[in-house]
Amino acid sequence: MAIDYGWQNRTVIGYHAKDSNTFGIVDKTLPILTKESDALFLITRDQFFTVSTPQISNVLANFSRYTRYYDTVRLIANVMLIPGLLIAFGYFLRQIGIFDSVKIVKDFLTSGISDILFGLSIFSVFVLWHDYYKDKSHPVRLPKAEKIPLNDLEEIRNTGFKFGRYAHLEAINFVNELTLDIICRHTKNDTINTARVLEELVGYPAIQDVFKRANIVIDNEVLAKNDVTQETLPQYQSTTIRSLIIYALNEALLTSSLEIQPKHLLLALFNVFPVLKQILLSQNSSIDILREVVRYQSYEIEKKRSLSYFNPNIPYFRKGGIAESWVYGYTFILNNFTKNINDQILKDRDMYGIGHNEEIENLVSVLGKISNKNALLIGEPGVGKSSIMLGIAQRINRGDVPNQLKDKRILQFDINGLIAYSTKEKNIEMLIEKSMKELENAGDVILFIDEMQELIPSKAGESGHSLAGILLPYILNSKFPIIGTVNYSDYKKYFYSSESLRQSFTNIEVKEISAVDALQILETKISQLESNFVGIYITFHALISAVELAQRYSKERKLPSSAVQLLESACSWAQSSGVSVLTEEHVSKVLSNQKGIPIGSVNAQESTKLMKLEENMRSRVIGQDSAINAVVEALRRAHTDIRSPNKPIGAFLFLGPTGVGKTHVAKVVADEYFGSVSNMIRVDMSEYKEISSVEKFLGGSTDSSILGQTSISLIDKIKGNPYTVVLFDEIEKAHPQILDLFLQIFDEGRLTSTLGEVVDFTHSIIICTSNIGSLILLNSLEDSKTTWEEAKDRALIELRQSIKPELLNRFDKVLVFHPHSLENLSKISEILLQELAQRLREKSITLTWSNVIPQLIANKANQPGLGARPIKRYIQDNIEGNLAKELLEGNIAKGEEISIKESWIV
Amino acid sequence: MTQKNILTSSGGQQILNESKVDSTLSIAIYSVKDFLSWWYIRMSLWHLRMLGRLSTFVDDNMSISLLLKNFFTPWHRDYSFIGFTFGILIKIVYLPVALITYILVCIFYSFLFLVWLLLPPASVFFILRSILTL
Repeated sequence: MAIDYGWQNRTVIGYHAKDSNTFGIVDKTLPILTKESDALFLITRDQFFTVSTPQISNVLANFSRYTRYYDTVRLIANVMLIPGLLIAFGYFLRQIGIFDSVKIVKDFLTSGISDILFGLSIFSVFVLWHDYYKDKSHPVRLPKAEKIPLNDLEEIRNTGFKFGRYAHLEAINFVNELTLDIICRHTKNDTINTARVLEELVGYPAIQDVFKRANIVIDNEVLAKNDVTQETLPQYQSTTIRSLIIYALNEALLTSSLEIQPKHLLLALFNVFPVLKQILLSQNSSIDILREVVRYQSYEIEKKRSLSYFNPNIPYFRKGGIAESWVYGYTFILNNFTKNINDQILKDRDMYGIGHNEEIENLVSVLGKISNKNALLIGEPGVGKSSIMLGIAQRINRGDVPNQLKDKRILQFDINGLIAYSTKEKNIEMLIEKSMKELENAGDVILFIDEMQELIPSKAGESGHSLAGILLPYILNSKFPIIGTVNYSDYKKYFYSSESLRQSFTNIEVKEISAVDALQILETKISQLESNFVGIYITFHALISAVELAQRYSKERKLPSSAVQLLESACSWAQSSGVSVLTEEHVSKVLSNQKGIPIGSVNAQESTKLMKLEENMRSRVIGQDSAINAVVEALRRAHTDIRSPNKPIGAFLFLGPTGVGKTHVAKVVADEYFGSVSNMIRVDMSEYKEISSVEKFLGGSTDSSILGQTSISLIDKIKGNPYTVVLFDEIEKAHPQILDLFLQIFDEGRLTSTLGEVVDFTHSIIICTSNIGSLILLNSLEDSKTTWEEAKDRALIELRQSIKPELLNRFDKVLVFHPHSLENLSKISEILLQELAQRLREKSITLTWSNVIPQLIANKANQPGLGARPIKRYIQDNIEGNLAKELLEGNIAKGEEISIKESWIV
Repeated sequence: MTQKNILTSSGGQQILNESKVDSTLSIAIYSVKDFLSWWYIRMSLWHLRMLGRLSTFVDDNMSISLLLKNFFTPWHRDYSFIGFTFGILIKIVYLPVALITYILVCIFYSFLFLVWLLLPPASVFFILRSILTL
């Protein structure tokens, strides 16, 4: 699944052709304007950027002159500092009378010359001060490029650009000196040498860092190997610099940078020249990945800016002050089992609540109400409910909240801490009463209870009462805000049934964040992980892979938690395995090991296995080639990631008489693809004949008997192992409402249980069997007037009359199994004898038989209409029985060989 | 209302060849102008922002606005006679001290700002006086 990085619709690049007076939008192909009369411009939601030709020509003509001038002035100023410092030291020593005896020095220090030099050196300090601080005190700041509303984009496409509504800015003002220097140095005689620019950019350490993080190698050698040289890259007239600056500006805006830097110029070059894009593709990378790496670096630089209270360019984080506690109540007791989240994240520069802006806004508005300020954050495990509270705490610290929330502190309630503390107190009810009074009196506390459902089973010490029961009156009548988190199933179980609890809280649903938000969260964790797991360097591909694979395979936890856990596991594995650079292959490998299934790109070994899958299956399943073909195709599509990720790997319906191998195919698929026959869940649909069995199917049995309480539902089994073959036997026996549930499984690859849990079927193979039409198929063998094809058609007609068409339509394939011929039964006998021989080999006994034995068994055991089962029973009764007799009589010992006698086949 | 189309109006584009190279003198004049505008305009605004930041810092650390907003709130929200009395008394004692500190900090920084404004002319005056006394 490709990640949508959100680059689209934040900027629009347009062009104007003066000759024809036409405007247009630059699409995917970025043109280089060579005509001076053509112009490029860039529009964001609120701004409009141009690059004027006079500015470019002015820069080209004068930049180096200005640079040389300032360098000279700086040098002179630095030199002037030396005599100034010496003279200042001399003044000091003169004051304390040291130079009174040295006439020359005394005269010099009292002369006007020393004063002039001293005055000039003071002025040099001012010059150097200006030189050093002019960019720091007033840093260039590109505005943020927010998403342009779709209506505005439509209007632009239909009726053109209305420049009057935007603030006009000159792009050249946002280009930093280093970038200008590179452009100017490589522009001579009105021609810009793009190859030289590229060569220089590629050599910069900051840009090599970008390449390293993106796990690609681009240096002058690679460029030469790909034929990117001064001879092959076109050289342009200097008028094209306007295009490069607009494209570099575009990159700077998309990567949330403050100014246009050399790396943005590099991205612009990569966007313009197809040969450079090809180099990226050949190394399994793309412009999007490079851009995201640059965006991540901008974030890291922003984070590293020192948290100084005396820098007016960065926001001020309120600390509260020495007298803050005077106006708020004591919380002595509460402090023993709560944690102050505002203090916890004060020094943390990471961003919290990424991807949950809407939920944070909703929560802020609930907390800002006059009454009933309680809220319940409901969402799946791992979606980031706790992170929302950290995000609110960050905003409170920043002062970015309404007045009602300023100066508030969030205390996180520790249920286990309360229970531990209560062992000291004899009366937990009294303890809770006192702490609730403290909370009411404090006036500045927002109580946060994470995993609120934990309150219910927790017992209060010796009293045995539930903590929830003791706290409930305070929650219902609370005079302070309470924020809780709970997941869907626990909400339905514990909260939904209580009207008073439901009324006390405003529910805020927390949805899973998008893949790109999860990627941003992983980016915030890079520095922490690299410092915890010393020696590991995390590439961007590893992050992308962690997000994509977690989204696809770890359905039991949602993003971002699943991706974070996967990345941490991968780092831990890499450290213990001596890997220094973590790539996407390592992440796939770790997840494969965790899940026990092959994941990731198909390598040579896996592709050989997949190609041999059909051969292996044919050797184990006799006479059902069409079924094997269909299943193997589905498995190949699954493994090469071509299939739809929102459906099961495959959904098949097997028709046929008994004993033809329908269940056997399912077992072989489980063994060959998922690694073991135990990776198959068999569901006998005859148990779901009644409408009341829907609950049993969905995992919420109301059966109060021991059997009902201990039975494991299908839902539980799939949750335990989603990488499995699910065999629904005899589906025609199930109640139609049960079969309706299959529609959701086939369409969306999931099923919602009675407790609201969503169970993932997208990594399962669904095989349904049915005996519909079996009689027709069996009779066709004896009836010479009816061909097999006609019988099959009639069986399918009967099927369509018995099962709803909307269900039948959702199967990938409906396969009719052919009854076994004698030849097939003979081959099946051979296979069963091989299995028997394998079992005996484990006891060091060799079993042999002549070529005619399987045929004899087939002839003898064959019962038309009953398939291969009679063969199995026959071998069990006659062959195994006789072998057992021989063993018990001591006629065979370990290490010996025994041959199957024809007399055993009566 | 006619919209000025920046790209098509006559002030838009000139031919690139006519580039104007600045002389050393014009660069020097520009650098002096740049220095003066930075020192007296941009840095003055910066100092005003810094003054605002300092005052916020002092206010936050000494909890001045918080105490003024909650002047009648009892001590640690103890809604008893002692709580109310003690709360007001301690604020009556503390707030003047905090406010004086706040004012002194603002005055001190304003003085520093004045020194900042006077530094360049003072050093020029010093140099000229030294030349005259040679």
